[in-house]
Amino acid sequence: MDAPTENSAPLTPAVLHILLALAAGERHGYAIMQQIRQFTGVLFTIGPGTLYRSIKQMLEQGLIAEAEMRADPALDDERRRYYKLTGKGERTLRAELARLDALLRIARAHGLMGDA
Amino acid sequence: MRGQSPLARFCAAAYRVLLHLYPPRFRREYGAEMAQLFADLSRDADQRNGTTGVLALFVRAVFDTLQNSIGEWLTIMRKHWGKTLLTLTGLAALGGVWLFMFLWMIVYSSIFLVPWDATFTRPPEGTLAQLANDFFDGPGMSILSFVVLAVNATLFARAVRAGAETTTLPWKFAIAGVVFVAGSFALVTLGIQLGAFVWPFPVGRSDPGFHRSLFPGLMCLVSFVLYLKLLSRFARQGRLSHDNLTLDGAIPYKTTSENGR
Repeated sequence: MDAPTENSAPLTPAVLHILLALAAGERHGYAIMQQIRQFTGVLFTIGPGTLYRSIKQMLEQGLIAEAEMRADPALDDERRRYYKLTGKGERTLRAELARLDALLRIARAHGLMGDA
Repeated sequence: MRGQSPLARFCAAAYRVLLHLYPPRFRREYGAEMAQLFADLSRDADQRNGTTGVLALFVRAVFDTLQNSIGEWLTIMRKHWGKTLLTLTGLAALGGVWLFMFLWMIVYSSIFLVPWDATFTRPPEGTLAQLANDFFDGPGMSILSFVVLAVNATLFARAVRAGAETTTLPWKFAIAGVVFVAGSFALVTLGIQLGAFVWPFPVGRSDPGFHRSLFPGLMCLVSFVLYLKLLSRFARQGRLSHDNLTLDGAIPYKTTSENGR
């Protein structure tokens, strides 16, 4: 069961977006940022520092794992480190999304979303 | 770096230099990837918005680097509180030097300057000695004392705040901070009173040393009150408990399965 409990804590926006970006598959840093841009446009941007500090933190917490180093044929011949979601990361993401969904339902019930 | 403008290449090189603000271990682990990522982003910005885009990206990257490098250093300090303790002790020693300088000025002003003033002959007009005399005998002393006090209090407050966020001994540092500021105020007051007692001022002559010392003394009191307010705010936020501290001050991640166990 992935529904958040009262002890669940919100993820930071950067961590949430990175988890979402990795939910579709393995990605390197630049691809993660491209995916986030695709999700949010210019509404949410993170810098390289925020991205890699979050990655370091998520690796330590077991939310993501390093995949193999390989070149991205769409970019250049440079080898890049890929990251992938772990089982724990996926559970955390689902719990967070369920929490946000519950919040949205409350907001809709109070007519705050304009489509209640 | 294919198809990059000279500006984009320059910004990428400058960003690699900026990466040295991060702790060495973090830089070794992620520096190359971050530099590569910035080069990719600057190429994109160049293609989309030209020079403006690259410059805007670089400015954002500077702030991003400053914010995250400080955060990463704090993370390391939190994990290695023994080294942090040494650092904070060094900071406290530095604060002590500032305190000494501050007290020296106050004592100099309130005790030694007054009897000297009584027989002091004003230097000739227009000389450097006369300018220096006017500065130290006028509001310059108060301003200088205040600046030293402000730097001193800020330095120590930051050290205490860093201690509260990065070590397992937050309360000891917090108490040390209160004692430090309160002690400063007490010593200043005591010094002024002692000076007036040992060297009474000539009849009919005002006490310039006391007036010069009054302003920094009051500032010391104000900083003490502000410091107490800071501690109170930290206590309300629960930031003085090490158990509540995690990266970036965020609450630790917990999955449902972990919570359930």
